[in-house]
This record gives sequence, structure tokens and C-alpha cells, in this order.
Amino acid sequence: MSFARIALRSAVRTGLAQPASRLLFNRLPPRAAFSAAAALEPAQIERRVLDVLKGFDKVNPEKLVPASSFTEDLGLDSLDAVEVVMAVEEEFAIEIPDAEADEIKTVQQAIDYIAKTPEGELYL
Amino acid sequence: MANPPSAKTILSLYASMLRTSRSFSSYNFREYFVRKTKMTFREIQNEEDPAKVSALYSQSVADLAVLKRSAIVNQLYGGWKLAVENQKPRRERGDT
Repeated sequence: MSFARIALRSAVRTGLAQPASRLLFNRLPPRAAFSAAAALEPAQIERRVLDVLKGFDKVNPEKLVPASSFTEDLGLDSLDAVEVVMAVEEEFAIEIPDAEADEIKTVQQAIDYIAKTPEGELYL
Repeated sequence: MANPPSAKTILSLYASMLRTSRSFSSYNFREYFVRKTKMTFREIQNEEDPAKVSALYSQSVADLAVLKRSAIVNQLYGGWKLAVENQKPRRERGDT
């Protein structure tokens, strides 16, 4: 009784499931995708950098445009500028060396830096 | 008394302290050390006396060494993520 059921089940499985998967396999052409995904869109980088800056209490959102300078337009001091660079690092999961972090004085410079930097390792 | 540290060295110490604080894996430690670092450096910024600035700076340098060691230990024994944390960072880019 139970042996017959098992035999029937395996017959059904081999009879139906196997051809369906083989059919699917045959229909898909064999190929390999070795290309990397596209880089971030410049508009997306800009939006995310601006979002990071909006998170700072001292930054006036009305004055916040890509051309604005951290110290002159946004009223941030040097410590805040370091914090901004840190927040940008965290947002994009990269590490900006001190020498290059010093050069980042405007929002646009931060955006440009992200655009030319390859993606960092994903930390878990 | 040694010369007071320049603004650039203080800023680079600030950056490395923030970076180390951020590398703690426990949420509570991480948030605390980031907050403490920010407070300490505001204090240095508001300090007028060069001798006190030097003292605070050298204290921070010593703290950074401790912080680095603790961060490594905490990364080993950090435990699981809290419910308030971002559970799984999304991968935004795949170009490298």
C-alpha cells in the first residue's frame, strides 16, 4: 500500500517535474554576466550628499545648494566640516584620507569626490 | 611646555577619533564614543589657554589609543544588532 504510494509519487515527480525544469533550462541561452553594475548617477550622489547635510542642525536648508561652501555659506566651523566629511564617508561606505578630506570645502567638491571614488567594501 | 598643537593636527586627531568611535560594533558604545568625542573637541575649541589645549590634546591622543584597542575587542565580542539599528546595509553601488 505505502510502497505503491511512494512508487506513484516518484513516478509523478520524475514524470512531470523533470521535463519542466529541463524545458526552462533549454529555453534560457547559456551566458555569463561579468560586467559590473553601473556607477551611481551624479544626480543621485548629489541628492544623497545634500540629504546628509540636511541632517546637520546648523545647516540652513534654504542656503543649501551644491555650490555652497561649508564654512562661508553654511556657517559651519572646521570641526563641523570634519563631521560632514565623516557623515559623507558613512553614507557612501568609503574612507576619505585626511589629505583629501582637507581639500573638501564645498558641497560640490564632496559630490565630485564621491563620483570619482570607487565603491568601498560593504561592512556588515 | 611643548608648543600647542596646530589646528590641522587637532582636526586630523578629531577625524581619526570619530572614525575609531564609529567602528565599535555595539550600538550603545558607538553612539556614546561619537558623542563624547564631539563634546571633547568642542571643549578644545572653546579653550583659550594654550597650556590647557595641549593638555586636552595629549589626553585625547592617549584616549585614541585606548579607543582603538577597545574598538577591536568590541568588534570581536560586540553581540547582535539592536532593534533600533539598520539591520542589513543595502548595497548601493556595484562598480568595483
